[in-house]
Amino acid sequence: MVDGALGAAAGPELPATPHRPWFFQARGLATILLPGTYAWGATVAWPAFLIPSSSPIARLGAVAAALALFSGPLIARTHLRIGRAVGVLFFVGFSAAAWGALGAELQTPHLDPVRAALGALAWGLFALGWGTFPGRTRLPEDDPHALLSARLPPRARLPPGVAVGFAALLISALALPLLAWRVERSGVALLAHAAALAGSVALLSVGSRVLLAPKAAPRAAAPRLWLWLLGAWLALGALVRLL
Amino acid sequence: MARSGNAISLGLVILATGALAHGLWALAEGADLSGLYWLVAALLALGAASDRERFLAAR
Repeated sequence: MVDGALGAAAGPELPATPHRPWFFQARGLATILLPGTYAWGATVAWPAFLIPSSSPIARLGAVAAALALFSGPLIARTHLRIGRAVGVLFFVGFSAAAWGALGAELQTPHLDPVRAALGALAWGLFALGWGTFPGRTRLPEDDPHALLSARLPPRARLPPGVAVGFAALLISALALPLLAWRVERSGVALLAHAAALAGSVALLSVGSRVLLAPKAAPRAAAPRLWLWLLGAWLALGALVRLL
Repeated sequence: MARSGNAISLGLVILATGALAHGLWALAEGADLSGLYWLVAALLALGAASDRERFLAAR
C-alpha cells in the first residue's frame, strides 16, 4: 500500500502534510452534530414546533434537547464522561420527554414516513459519531506513543471471496428488517421487527467471525450441543410436516 | 470463504439467513406457527455457528 515502507522504517520520518488540529476537531464534532441536528430537527423539533396543538412542555423538551446536543461535545473535549452524559443521555432524555408530551400527535397519520425513516437513520449516525468521538478530534501524531514513520505494509490481504461474502452478509442483514415491514398485524409486527433486528445483529456478528476465521482450522471435536438441538428441531419440523 | 476452511460454520450462517427470511415471510403471510418455527431454527443455527467459531478461535 505504501511504497518503500520497509526502507523508511529505519529512521523516523515526519509526515509531509502540516498539522491541522482544527480540521480534526471540526470533523470529530461534525460526526456528532450533523446527524444529531438532523435527527433532532426531523424527529423532535418538527412535531414539537410545527404541529399547532403540541404542548409547551414538548417544545421546552425540544429546546432542552438541542442545548444538550450542542453542549455535550463541547464539554466532552475537556471532560469526556460528563460531556458524553450530557450529549447522549440528556439529549435522548429530553427528546423522549418531548415525544411523551406530544402523546397522540406522534401517531402515524400525523407523521411523514420518509422523514421519520431518515430521522431514524440520523439517530443511528449520531450514535456512531459518539462512538468514535474522542479519537476523531485528536491528531494521531500528537500521541506520545505514535511512531512517526511511513505506514508499514500489511502482511497479508483478505481474498476477494471474503469481501463478496461480507457484502452478501451486509445485504442480508439490511434486508431482514425491511422484510419485517411486510407484517401488518400490530402484535406480530412488533415481534417480527424485534426478531429481524436481533437476527441481523447476530448474523453480522457471527457471519463476520466465520468469514475472518483463520485458515488452518484445527481438526478438533467442536462442541455439538447446538448442532444436535438444531438437528432435532429440523427433524421435528420434517416429522410434523409428514404427519 | 474457502480460506476459513470451515464450511460447516458457513453453512450454518447461510441456513440461519434463510431461516430468518423464511420465518419473517411466513409471519407476514399469517402462518404464525411456521414463522416461529423458522425463527427458532435460525436462532439454533446462529448459536451453533457462534459456538463453533468461539471454540475454534480459542484453540
